[in-house]
Amino acid sequence: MPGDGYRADDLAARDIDAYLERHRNKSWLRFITCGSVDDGKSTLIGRLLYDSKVVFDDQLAALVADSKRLGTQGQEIDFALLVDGLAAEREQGITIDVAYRYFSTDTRKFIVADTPGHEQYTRNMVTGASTADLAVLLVDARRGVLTQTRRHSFLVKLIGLRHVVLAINKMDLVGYSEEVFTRIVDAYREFAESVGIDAFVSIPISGLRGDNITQRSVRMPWYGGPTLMEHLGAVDVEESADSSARLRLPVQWVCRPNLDFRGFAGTVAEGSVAPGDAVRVLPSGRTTTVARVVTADGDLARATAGQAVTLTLADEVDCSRGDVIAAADAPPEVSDALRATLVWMSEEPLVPGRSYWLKIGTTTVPATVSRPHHQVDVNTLERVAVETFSLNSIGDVDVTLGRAVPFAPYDESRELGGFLLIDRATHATVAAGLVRRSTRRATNVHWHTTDVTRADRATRLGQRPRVAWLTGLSGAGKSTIANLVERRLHALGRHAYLLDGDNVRHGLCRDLGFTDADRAENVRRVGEVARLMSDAGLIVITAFISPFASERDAVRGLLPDGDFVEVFVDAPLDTAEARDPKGLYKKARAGQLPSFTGIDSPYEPPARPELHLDTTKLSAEECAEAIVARLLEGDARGLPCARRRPRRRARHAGSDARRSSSPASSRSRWVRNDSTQTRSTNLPCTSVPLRCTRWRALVAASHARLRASRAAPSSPGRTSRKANSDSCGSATISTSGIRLTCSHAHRASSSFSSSARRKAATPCSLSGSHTLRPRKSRDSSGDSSEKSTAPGSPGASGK
Amino acid sequence: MTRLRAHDGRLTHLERLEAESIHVLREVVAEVERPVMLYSVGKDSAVMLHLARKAFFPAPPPFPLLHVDTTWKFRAMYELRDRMAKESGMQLFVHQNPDAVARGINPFDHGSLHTDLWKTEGLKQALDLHGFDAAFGGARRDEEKSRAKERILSFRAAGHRWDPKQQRPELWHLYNARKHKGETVRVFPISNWTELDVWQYIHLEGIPIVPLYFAAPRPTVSRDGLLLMVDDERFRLLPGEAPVTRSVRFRTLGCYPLTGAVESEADTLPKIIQEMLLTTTSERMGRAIDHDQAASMEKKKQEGYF
Repeated sequence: MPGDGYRADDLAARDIDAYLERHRNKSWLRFITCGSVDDGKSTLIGRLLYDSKVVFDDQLAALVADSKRLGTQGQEIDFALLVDGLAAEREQGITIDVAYRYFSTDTRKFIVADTPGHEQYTRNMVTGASTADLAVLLVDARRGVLTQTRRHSFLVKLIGLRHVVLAINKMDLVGYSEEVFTRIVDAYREFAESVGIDAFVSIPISGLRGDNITQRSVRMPWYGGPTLMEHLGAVDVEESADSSARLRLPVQWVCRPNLDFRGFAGTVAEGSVAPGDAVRVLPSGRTTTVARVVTADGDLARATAGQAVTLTLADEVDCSRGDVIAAADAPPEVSDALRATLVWMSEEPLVPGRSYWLKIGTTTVPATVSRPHHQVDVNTLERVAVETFSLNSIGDVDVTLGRAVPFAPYDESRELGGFLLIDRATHATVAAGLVRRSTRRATNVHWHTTDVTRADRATRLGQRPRVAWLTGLSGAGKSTIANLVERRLHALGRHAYLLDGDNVRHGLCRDLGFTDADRAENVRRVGEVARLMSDAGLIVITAFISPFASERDAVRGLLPDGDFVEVFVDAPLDTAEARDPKGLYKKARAGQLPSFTGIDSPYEPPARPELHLDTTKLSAEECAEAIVARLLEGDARGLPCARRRPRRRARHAGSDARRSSSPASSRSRWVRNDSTQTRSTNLPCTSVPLRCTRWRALVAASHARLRASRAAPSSPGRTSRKANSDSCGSATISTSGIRLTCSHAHRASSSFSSSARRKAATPCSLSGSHTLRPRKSRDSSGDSSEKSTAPGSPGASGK
Repeated sequence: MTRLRAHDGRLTHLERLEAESIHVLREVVAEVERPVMLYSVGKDSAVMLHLARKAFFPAPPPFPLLHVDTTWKFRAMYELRDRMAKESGMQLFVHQNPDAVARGINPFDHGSLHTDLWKTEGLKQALDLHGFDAAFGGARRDEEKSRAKERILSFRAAGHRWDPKQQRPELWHLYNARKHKGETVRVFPISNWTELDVWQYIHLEGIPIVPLYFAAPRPTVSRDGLLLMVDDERFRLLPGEAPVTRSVRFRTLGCYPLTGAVESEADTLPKIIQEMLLTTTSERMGRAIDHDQAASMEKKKQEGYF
């Protein structure tokens, strides 16, 4: 009879109270078994149940009957039939989902996620592993480490299981050979290190015969380690949990039974909490202290990770479902833009750009997913370029959220780093996500709102700080053109700076290589630097291959609308390769430069660049002129010729200008009192386009125009300038001064004053103090669930 | 919680199970519009109700109880049902399928139609009648093979049909409770509990259960391998049958003419647990419903049986 049982029948029979006391103290272990169809996984689990005496006589009788009818073991008991449940799968001979099994020893309760191996495997295994602490990787001793073993190991590492058991099964079929065992273990060790699995325990077993499952095998005396059950019973999974973890409690539900009680119910995800602890409510960032830790069994002196409690707070702070109560001095990051790894779980493929629901912690927000940066081939572990994800795809994307949420990188926290993507139409869970990092500015630090704004700096320099982003293949001519652009801008007296691909790799990005991830990071860093420089008022020119559209789009998202000028320096591959100014193509073709864009790494041309320059038709100088012209378009100073003789564009007088002149129709209007007021009488009105982000520059321009119109009065009435596509209002110069009108609601941008920054979609205003403020408070019918976002977060600019 | 706490201060398996169930209850209440708890008065229902009262403490659970009645439950079950509803401060809905009432459906004459009409149809009717979009149930995965793959949130299309291929993956502690109008979700907060866990928890927490779980002398007849209790005058004795007083108890409770008792002397919880540990037949042996055919539960489920 295999196994001597783990239900402690003797103790239960002799002294039930002692038995119950022992079982009261049981811990639990959740584990997953990974193996392919023929690795004997179901047999192993069936054996564990059988040996643990979870199988009752009636089930055993049914099992014996089934084994004869359906089994694959001849007249012997087919343990796999114990765990194959659904009729459909019996007919197909495969299991089609994650099944959970339960058994106990004296000291532990076990929950096994049984995830069968076939094409649905990735989805099922990720699901099963997400709640597990340990993985049992099954290897068929006859076949050794196979592709699927690698796949399973990759997924185990992906989901972050710290404990791995390599169970080499079917030892009975290799004559219980130590040599076979050692060979497989050595082969696996080499592979495990390559995917980052540092430690694993190897056990030679036979699920069918029961060797080293619950009982030490007499047929493998050479093996001195624990049996599978001994190991599962002894492994300490809690010790590996980070004891320094700080409090994270996602609020599930606000408990308000009466006016005197307001509690925040949730499960402690990490760390611990006690009355008196200083806490911070995220994303609002408000701080208070914990008053009580309430449970139905009385208040607790301390609650630890995994406990479901209700907190009351010392102050009346705004806190509701979806918020995270965290340690005040170590709050998690808050962001509305995340880099994440997705495991696609739906038959419907990913649609980049579509809005999904994203559920993280206890909050659900709209989320847009970029095109994949890459997909990981789970068999070869290679990264490949793809347009979308289909069922079981795994790879990295950027996710932009409707509002900022608290999160943690998945490697640090499963609870705050794992999320679901939900189809908004079908409500199906289409993907599991693992947060890697925020792709926005560091939102875990308070954003300091500085008094001097981007617009102030731009005005001082007298220019519009745009970013010309040159993208294209190596050898397309980016650096050459960029150099010409910088020279030309410099000659025109503009403050410009060229960020060159090769140059930053000597410093800022010298730690990065040329993998997709490193390329993405390279572009991210340059994008951030470009944003900082343009914030400082500089015109920035960048020359980077930047092969991925999503990275370029991410940089676009960092800048105010209209300030990112994507320039596609277009040269066909053969042309670029023929030029080969640095001899790189030659090296790449010779195999000396892996991941070379255009050769063995993809280039994604921009779909809608601001400028598309065909370098087979245009000279470098012509390209540079086109870029300079685009960079200075609408600039307060304009191009030198425009400065000398302003072109009249009265025929473009827009409705904006007309509307601005009519008090009844202007939705918002602000009057700037100015010294000019006292001096100006009977002067014609002049409307000029105004872009709120540049209002100061335009005020200055208006002054200039006012002076000009005094010197040479034009025809009575109004003269208007074309309302540029990027203008959102106009400045009207009239007898009463300069009237600046913003005629439509628009995105707040970084040039807003701090008070306006958080009020999205609000008509902006000018006051005498040169700041933009909304005249009216925002309409109060806003979604009450909408949380105010972290100051300075771009998410604050609304939809 | 102190009663569950281990000596060494670590969370025990029962504490973890309790916390997980509370998490599920709260999560679903927060995400659906009109939840209800199916209360069948059995031990699993008792544990589930206890967990709900803990989850929302100090508030009462923010949903009503629903008993889908067949009129053929044990009298002791009706007594405990009414007592617990009063004690918990929760509203109790009792639904009896009017069609089954009119047709006088009973377990003696109608066989499986009895379960179909009273329970399966009755449940659908009750959910539709009150517009409940989520129903908590006390099913466990260890009860039966086909349940091992049941999700904690089990979605039913309009018409309450369960499609194994349309179920959602459940990762980490994230539950996607979104659904279309007309769709409903069955929620099983104690999915990961085993029979032993349930008994231990009842023992440690002192949860009231129907006295029928404890052994006592009761009038019984032996029929078709089941030991049936003569609970009221509606019990039809076959020729030659006469109630015999035996010391029996029930491992599972349903309609009394369909629920088999076991001969037992276990009149305390430790003794019940002891008996359970030493027994050699599974819990559902006492229920006639499972003997029909292999994978019977799965078929029942696809038809809308809970």
